[in-house]
Amino acid sequence: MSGQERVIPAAAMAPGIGIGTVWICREEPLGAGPAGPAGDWQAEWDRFLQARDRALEWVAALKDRLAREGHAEEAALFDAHRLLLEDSALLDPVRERLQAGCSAEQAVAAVVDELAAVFAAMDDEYFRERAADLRDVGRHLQRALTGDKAALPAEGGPWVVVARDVAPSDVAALDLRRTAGLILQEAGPLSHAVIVAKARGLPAVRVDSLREQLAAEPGWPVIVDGTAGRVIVHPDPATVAEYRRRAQAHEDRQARWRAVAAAAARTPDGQQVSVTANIAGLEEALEALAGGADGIGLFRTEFLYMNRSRLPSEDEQVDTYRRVLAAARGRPVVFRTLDFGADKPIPALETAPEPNPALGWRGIRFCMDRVDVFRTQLRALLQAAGGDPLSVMFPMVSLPEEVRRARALLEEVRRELAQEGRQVPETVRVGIMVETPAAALAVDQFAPLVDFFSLGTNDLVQYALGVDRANARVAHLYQAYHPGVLRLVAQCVERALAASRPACVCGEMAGDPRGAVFLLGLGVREFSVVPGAVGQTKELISTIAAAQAREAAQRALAAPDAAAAMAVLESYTVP
Amino acid sequence: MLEVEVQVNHPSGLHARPAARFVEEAKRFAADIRLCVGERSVDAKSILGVLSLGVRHGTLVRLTASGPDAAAALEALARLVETGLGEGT
Repeated sequence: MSGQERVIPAAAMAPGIGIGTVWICREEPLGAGPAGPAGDWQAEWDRFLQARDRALEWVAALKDRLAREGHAEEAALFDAHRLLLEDSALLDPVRERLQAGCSAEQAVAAVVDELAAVFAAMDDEYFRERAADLRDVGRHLQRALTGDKAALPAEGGPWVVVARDVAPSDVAALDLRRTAGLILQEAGPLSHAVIVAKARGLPAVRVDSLREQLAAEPGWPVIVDGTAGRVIVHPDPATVAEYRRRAQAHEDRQARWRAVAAAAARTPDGQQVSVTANIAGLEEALEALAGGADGIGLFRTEFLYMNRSRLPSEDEQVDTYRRVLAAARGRPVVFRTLDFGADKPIPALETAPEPNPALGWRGIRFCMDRVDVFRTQLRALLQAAGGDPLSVMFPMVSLPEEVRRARALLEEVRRELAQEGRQVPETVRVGIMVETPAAALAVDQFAPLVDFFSLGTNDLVQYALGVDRANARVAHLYQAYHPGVLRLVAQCVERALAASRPACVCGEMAGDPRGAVFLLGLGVREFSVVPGAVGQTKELISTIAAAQAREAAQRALAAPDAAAAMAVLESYTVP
Repeated sequence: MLEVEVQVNHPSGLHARPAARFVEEAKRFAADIRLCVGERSVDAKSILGVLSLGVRHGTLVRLTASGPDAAAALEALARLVETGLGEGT
């Protein structure tokens, strides 16, 4: 053991494990070029245009490379770069500066800085990230002017590229045979650099400070864990061996899960199980459906309302819902109506903070008070479905009366739309989220009012234990496998099935292999999990017979504590 | 000068890829085309201009055009913007 090993926490940006040697990307201060040849701005302009043409060629080559690797969407990002290089809004100010006596390098630096500042000041994250694209284009121009090559590894390796931030074109240009991963200091999840890294399967993490935390020097051995979010500097040989094993296992698993996700899930004894995805955005829904999810089991509609100053219009909502339904091509999509609460405030609703938001004005409670907002959403959902079947569920229900009123409103809106001459579904499947322990124990009383139940285990566990998992002081008390929680879930599923209502589970418990074994054993046949867990869950289901899962569930229910229950369930999962 | 008002239906608004699609379509026409949101108006053939408007999903934008193929340009661009700029479904 060398004894120098240091583990540094990092934010996971792109999954996977990379083992290599530190490669520090040289920081390129823009505008360090020589002063202009006084008087001859025309010659400088010609030099600039030649550099511009070279930059255009590079961008085209990068685009081709990504397209060849099969990343058509990411390749299209470089269309914006090409258009920037051709844009008179960039070229004209450069020329003006040349006429004023600047060198091409200085002019590019000044203009790019000026324009990037406009984007950096915008209040939408998507647009703020465009400043990075502009700087990327600026870097291309500088390199073309100075004749420098990109400061990227060209030989040796495998390297772990360490940089303050990295341009999307740099990530696209990285040689995959020589690059093991990326450690960045500035990179948002929406940045094109991260999107391209993910597409190319390059692990990436973000650290708070390269200098202090990492203290990495060129040539140091380093491990990037883009799955768990950590960096290990100077790893011991045993650690390297362990991570090599993990990296291989990660690749094998990914390949297996991709293959499994495409097919329907069935237990070895022939029980059909549906594995759908929980999503909170249009792109995520489209990705999950393309990746093999059997549908969308939890469509969180809140995203339509967040990060904006005005509520989404009926038409806008219709459009978004319709896109997902079209992408699902007949696979079920369950829309959860607006789950607003003081813990995820929506600026457009202008509500006051609450002392206890988890137990406050949220979910269906809010919607039945703000019928104007709710009505718009219901109208949009019904119109989006048109003549096709529609499934909706209401969040945070605690009383049957709430379901009665919400259903009545839904029916009223449906009739209203039919009278307006619009096409609406004949029948709507209505369900509720089971999140409060009281509702979980009384599902039989809700059964006549609903077509299905969906167990939101995250909130259910929080309410059952009285523990806020986001509160660091008490987070260790959050035990999803506490005997009381397991009994609560078991009774809820049992009563729902006894009343002939399907019980879907859309909380984290469904996506955890141990939880999936438990739920399968209780008789749950509909799982809704994060998109990345669809393949894994389907694989698990294909390995455990229903009878075996039943036995596992019974044993877990008899376990004296959470640790024992987890150990029992773990023993039934695929290693 | 011709004018038309449309709603931007791409889920993330006119950001990088959709903006690029929009600008490329605009460049196919000889007409002088402008994209306007409220009081602000930019050259529809400038990606910087289009991006700098920060147009989000659901925003109502105005397109104006003058020149030989102005009508065709407006028709093509309005259709592109309304159908979500070739992404999504």
